Amino acid sequence: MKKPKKYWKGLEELNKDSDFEKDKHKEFPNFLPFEKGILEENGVSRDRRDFLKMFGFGVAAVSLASCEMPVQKAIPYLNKPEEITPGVANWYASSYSEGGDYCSILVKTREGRPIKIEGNELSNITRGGVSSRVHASILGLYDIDRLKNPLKAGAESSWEEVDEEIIAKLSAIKEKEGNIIILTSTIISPSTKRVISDFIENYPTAKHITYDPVSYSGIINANEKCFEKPIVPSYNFDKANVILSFGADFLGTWLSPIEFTKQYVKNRRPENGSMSRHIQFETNLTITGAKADVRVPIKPSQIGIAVLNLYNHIAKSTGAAAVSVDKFELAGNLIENTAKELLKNKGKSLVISGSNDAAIQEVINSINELLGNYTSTIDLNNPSNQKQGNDGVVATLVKSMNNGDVDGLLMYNVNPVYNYTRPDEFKEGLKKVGLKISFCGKNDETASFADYNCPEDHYLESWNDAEPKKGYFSICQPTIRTLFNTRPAQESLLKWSGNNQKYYDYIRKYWRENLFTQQNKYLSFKTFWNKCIHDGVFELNHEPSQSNEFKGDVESASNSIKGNYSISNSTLELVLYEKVAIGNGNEANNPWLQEVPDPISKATWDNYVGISPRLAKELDLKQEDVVSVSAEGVSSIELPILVQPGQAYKTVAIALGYGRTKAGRTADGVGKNAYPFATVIDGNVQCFNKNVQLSKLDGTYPLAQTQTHHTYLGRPIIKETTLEEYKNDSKAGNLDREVVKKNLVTLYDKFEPKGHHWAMVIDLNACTGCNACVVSCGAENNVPVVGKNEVKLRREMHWLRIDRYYSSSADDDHVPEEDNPEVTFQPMLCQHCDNAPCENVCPVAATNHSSEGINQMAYNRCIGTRYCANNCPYKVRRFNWFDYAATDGFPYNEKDLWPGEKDDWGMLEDLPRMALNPDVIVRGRGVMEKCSFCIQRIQAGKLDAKKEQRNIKDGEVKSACQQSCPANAIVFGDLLDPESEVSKLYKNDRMYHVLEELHVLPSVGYLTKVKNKNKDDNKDV
Amino acid sequence: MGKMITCFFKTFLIFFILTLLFPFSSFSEDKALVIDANALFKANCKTCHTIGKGVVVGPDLKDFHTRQTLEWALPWIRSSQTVIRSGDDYAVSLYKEYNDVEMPDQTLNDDEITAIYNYIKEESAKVPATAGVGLEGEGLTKADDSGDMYLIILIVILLILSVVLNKVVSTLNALVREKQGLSQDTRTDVGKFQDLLIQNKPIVTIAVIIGLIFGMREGIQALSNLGIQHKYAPEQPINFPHDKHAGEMKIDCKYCHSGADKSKNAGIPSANVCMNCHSVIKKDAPEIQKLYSAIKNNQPIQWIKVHNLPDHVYFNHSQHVKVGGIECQKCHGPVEEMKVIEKHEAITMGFCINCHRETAVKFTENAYYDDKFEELHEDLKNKKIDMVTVKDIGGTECQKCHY
Repeated sequence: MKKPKKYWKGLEELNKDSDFEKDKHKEFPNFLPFEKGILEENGVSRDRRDFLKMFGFGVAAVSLASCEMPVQKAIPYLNKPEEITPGVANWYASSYSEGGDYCSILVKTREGRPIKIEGNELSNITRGGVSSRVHASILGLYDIDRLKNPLKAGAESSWEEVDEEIIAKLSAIKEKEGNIIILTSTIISPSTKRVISDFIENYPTAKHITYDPVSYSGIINANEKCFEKPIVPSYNFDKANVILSFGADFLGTWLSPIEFTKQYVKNRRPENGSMSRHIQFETNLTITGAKADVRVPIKPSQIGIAVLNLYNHIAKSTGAAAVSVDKFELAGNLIENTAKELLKNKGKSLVISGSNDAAIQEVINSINELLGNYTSTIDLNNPSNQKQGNDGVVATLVKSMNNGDVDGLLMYNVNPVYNYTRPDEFKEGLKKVGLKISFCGKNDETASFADYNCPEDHYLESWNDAEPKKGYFSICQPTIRTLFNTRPAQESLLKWSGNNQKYYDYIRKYWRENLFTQQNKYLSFKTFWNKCIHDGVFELNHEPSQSNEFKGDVESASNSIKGNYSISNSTLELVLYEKVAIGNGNEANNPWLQEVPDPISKATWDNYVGISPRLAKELDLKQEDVVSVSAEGVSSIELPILVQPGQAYKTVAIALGYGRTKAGRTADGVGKNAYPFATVIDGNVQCFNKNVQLSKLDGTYPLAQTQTHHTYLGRPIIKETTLEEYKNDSKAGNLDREVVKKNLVTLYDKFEPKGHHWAMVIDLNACTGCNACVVSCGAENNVPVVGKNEVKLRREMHWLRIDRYYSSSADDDHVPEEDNPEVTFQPMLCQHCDNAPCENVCPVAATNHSSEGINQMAYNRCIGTRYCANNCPYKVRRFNWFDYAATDGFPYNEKDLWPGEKDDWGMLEDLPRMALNPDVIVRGRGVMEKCSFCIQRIQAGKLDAKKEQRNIKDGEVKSACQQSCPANAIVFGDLLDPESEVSKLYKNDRMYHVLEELHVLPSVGYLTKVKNKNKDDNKDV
Repeated sequence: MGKMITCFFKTFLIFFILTLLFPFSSFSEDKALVIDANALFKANCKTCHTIGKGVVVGPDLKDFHTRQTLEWALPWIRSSQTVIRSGDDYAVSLYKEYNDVEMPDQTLNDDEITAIYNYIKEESAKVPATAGVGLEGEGLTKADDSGDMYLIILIVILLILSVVLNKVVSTLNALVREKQGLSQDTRTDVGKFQDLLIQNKPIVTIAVIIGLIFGMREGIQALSNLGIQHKYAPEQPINFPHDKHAGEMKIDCKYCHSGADKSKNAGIPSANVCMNCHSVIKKDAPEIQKLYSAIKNNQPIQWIKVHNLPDHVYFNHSQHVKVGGIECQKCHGPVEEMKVIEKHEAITMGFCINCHRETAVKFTENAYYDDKFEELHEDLKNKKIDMVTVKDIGGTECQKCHY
């Protein structure tokens, strides 16, 4: 008989680590007084008498505090704007764009303060999806480390002074015909591009160079060679039946993850009868690899060879010329079989690579060409503008800066001192530049070298536009008056080009002249403009994709590949990757993003050396051991070890975006900067290094991982099956549910919902683990940030967590289970059980059941016994050990217990507190909290319906997590409405409840995961 | 001994009653008449007229008695239009001068008009020739203050008196003892009191128990009243009379508190809402001038919040006003009678819950309820219940208000 699959959350669970075994049954592993150890370390002692003193003080303080009734003021507007009603949210359509990352959004503002971002469903690119970074950008607006005034040589100055001097200096450079360089990140705003070209017209020696820290110039170069189009094409994952990705994390970080996730899940619904098949070759385990049907760990130095081998298999069948290359075959003839599958789906397949090597991309292009994928799954005629950086040009710039050939450097949204591969070279060159101007909103690593800092507005404060993809236009409008004395970079450039226009007028003019003329729906520009502002997007008719003549030269590309890649490289290799939340590190100074656990490693507040378990064993390295990572020509960095199942053997992985030094008080000193380890092939920066050395240092460095917090200890939580089995029986993988349901008995009365019965269904097949929902939930519900030390003590406060389970087939003995486990994500939140075990044990009835099926939590009633958390089988209750959100005035309640350690992430100041949702209370110390099913949204939805005297519509009330999910994995609604989406999903054969046998009657259902696996896939790897 | 105590109590009681009577007797009769006229003037004339503070809508009434006689004023005040139509020169010219604005007819009797006429005469004399902006109402407040003052002085005098009398009694007692040849009572007053306590143990015990119960009850009451601010009526930056606006003028609450049926907050009106009327009416009144200076200086008016709910309570005005159709007065009290706004109800959780238990929802009128709560619909039809309360549809559950 087939042994059941084994699920485990971390290696400590798999290996039955003693520390893990000790604490596994405890909801709260440490006992009171929990400060003891910490306080003793700091030379403070407390005894029984102190307790009495503190008790006495507490009673006195509480009575004193309650005696004082502060005078509260109600300050109305002097002249209230017509569109604002205090207490009613205003929504504005806008666009998030940050170095090419794009999302069409709706911004919720209350009394003029932006407080929440949601997706804009009118956009055909992001289709209402949002990522964690987009959600968190609202906190970036209230970042206390932003520049408040323009700076001149580091000292605060005024715009008049700065403008006058800059214009004089620029004119001087112009007169002597010196070089002015405008160095920017990818710009997707057509108006901004026009501003830059206006500037260049005014200063004819000026040149615009685009620089992306994680660049895609390999793709651009390859497309130039193959199709004479230096562009990044747009991809259609929804049209592909077979997706093969060589290291492209397209669901997490590659190019346009929100767009791709929306497309990808369209073709992953087993109810449709078919599912796309997804094969992923990659080095470090990404969420894309986790979602893949087949995942192959491969060294970065092997990718080129694997691509060439695949090419040869396909060329052989299509009659194209093969290239000579060493045969590279994985177990089970994987490459050959994949080639067969791809050939079977000609025109309906998609091969991509995350490599930045133009030669590899050229071969990939040629494979797609042979498979006939251009015009169907790849569109060259409607290119993506989201990445435009060119590594070669940037390298030339750095060289000429060092030669002293650059007289003026204007830096917009770039930070090369931090993220350039050779930061020292750039720094040296920068010193030789006569005039350095930065538009950065912060005095960051690069901006601090500038002569003038002309801080730009946050995107939520300013007008802008965007064209992320050809023909897809988008408006960015301000949602708040500028908080500080800042100005759009475009306005600065306009001013210096002698144009005193406001940027808003400039955009309007651009749209009037260029976009209004391209449509015929609106006769007057005013109505057209108002419509665009209202919708946030304006989309032209999609240009039909045409076939392009392929002019690539696979033979020469293969020669280049053979020079750089090999099957058996004996040295240790390093792969550099972006984390889903932190990305390239530009927005690292954001506590929400730092605290969101990495979807795979579940680590927070750090980067680390991810190493495969096998290699760790060989090198005798253990979790949290500190190692020094060094490579030729790079100064070494010291990082802790994180043993990462799924990491390719003989490779290590380090995340980019950490080790900031001047990002602000949240990000500074968190992790180490790994950008310098990148290497260059053919002028393009590659995110890997083929030869690094690890040397073990003394001591350990603690990592704050959440992976084994809240474990279920081998109870069956995850259900999964394969597409094949599902087709035979739609209850496949979920057959035991019938048995469980038959055996349920209870002593309690049956719960009868009244009015509504709110419930949720989460599709495990769709969830990519991207964490957008976690950040969205935090923003909506004022979930506090607790900091690394608290996370380490299992005190993270997220109401919604995403459990990541590794699994391995127990009958498959020849592969060590931790080398390439399968991965399943399971969002876990309060299940709102109708027989809730937490409710019975609360001594003060602070948690009880509402007639609408919601497990309610009355914070002001809670006395903090934590019985409920101990009794919750899902471990979703969170306790406020401290006054994390600073709701009261007692400093001791806040977290000042760890002097010297980093805990000041700036969340307790007034400015970031402006992001709090005024409709949800901020919880204080000593109370339990948990998911409320976004009760404030339910109540608001009901109220709207009652005001309009109508029934509530299905889909009208959306929970924050559901709203943000780019994978549409979460459905929320009313079970008493038989037509609601959630009622229909409740009848789905894949639906099950976690721990249903306990008969707690949860209101959250899960849909069985279905993998499109072949029978022998397991043996392949 | 007992007799002495009784005697002492008697004296005290008499004085106490006298104290209570004193304030009532201290007001003179002619003052009452002035106050009466003052009130009449405030109620009927003040909206449009001032005495020595310039033109509001109608003319400044300073020295009115020198311009017209009481005989002319009587028919004029009762019906100005009749006088104008009769062709009275002064009346017609006045009407023209003030842009054909009619003075509304006043239903006042001759005595009242006479009182007002005399009041204007008196007040005119008080206004100095160079009439500046004075602080109105100041005099009245002072009079009230002095009343309190008298009371405090009186109590102090009485206390001194009772101590003196007590001393006299004890001295006399001592004299009597001396005369009767008894030994001097060497015990101190405190000692005597202790003896008294020891002799009457049951009474003392009962008294202590009663005292404790009473004290605890008061203590708990006081503690539970902490932060409730019942009857809280702070001084506002602008002395806004709700009685005038909502009472006399019958301006709808939602005209100013326009968020009440749309939003969670009813909203304090912004200055531009005040200006809808006060750009014309009573522009020169000192309280209105505060409004003007706020706008001029671009400084919002900092009202003091009277109805403070704790942070852990979510209250939505539109839910109650628009959906529930609840009158504002249900929670805010008779605002239309309040000179100074005060927190009329305690607005505690008990207050809310009670109302939710007793108040009917618009169950059959609102289509929202149509396909829900089948049982309640059934019961209503079968006359098992005569209404559906907020509680019946879950209105007393925690997360209806706390989230």
